[in-house]
Amino acid sequence: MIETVVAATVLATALVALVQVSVVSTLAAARARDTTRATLAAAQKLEELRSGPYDAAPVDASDVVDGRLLRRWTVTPRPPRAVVAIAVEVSTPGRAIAPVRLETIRAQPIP
Amino acid sequence: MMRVRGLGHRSRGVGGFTVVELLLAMAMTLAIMAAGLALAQPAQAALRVQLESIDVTQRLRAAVDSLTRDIRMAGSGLPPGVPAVTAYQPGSSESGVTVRYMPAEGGGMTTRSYYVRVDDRTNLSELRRADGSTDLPVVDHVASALFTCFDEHAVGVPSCGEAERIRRVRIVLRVEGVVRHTRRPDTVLRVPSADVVVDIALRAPGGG
Repeated sequence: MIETVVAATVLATALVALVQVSVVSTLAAARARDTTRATLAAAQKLEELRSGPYDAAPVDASDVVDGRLLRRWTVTPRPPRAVVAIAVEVSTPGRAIAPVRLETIRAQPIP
Repeated sequence: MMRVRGLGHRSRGVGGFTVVELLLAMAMTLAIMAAGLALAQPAQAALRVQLESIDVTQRLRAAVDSLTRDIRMAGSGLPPGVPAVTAYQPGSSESGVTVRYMPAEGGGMTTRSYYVRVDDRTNLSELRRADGSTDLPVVDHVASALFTCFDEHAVGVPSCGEAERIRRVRIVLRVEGVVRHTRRPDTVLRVPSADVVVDIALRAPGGG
């Protein structure tokens, strides 16, 4: 009887472990999808800032994308050169996902 | 001590199991396996959806990468008067965008058009790339790709018509799963489609 109980316990443990693996992989895939979306949201704002008129005035602003991604961007002049540093950071509040941060340098167009 | 098993010597004190014990053990094993399978079955369905969802995201990335690579280059090294971006309409129900640039590695002008076509026979929708001599699929199951051009003040340029004004191209992409849903005993799990808005700024909008 004891052998049977031990065998049944081992079997149950193995099954639970198998289910656990699928749960972990599902969570990892969801995290990867969220990171991709955050990266796309950051890239979108970065491209938008790059395509606008060149302005050396500092900017610090934020918005919410898709109702759950918090996006913050800054434009910082880098004197004495005629360039600005653009940084966009997207975080997902309430979820254990590292924020995505993209940075670039934009030079004043030559007339 | 050596145990002797045989019809004549079998008893509870010597060894082996009784029929009741065996039945009980089998019943317990079956109950545990049934519980395990009941747990595993929904997990398996969820895993199938998850794998499909990963594939959707992967195809989305491939589409965005391909579009970004070409649209970002649009206008680079072009001679005066050649538009960097124009609308592309190969069929009555299809619309896309054409970009032109001189590749950094030399050679002639590169002209590439991106659009979504739905095959009437297979009902398969694809993001396609045409370059004058070839017209090939880039990513399949792209349900739609809407292209909008903007000038530097974020004002839309209708039909990407005034090429010299265009500074940015916005693409609204929808990528769907090859498998739309999977069934499990109590419900149907849907594979979510991926809808994204991608903006790509032209690095050399006025040529050069």
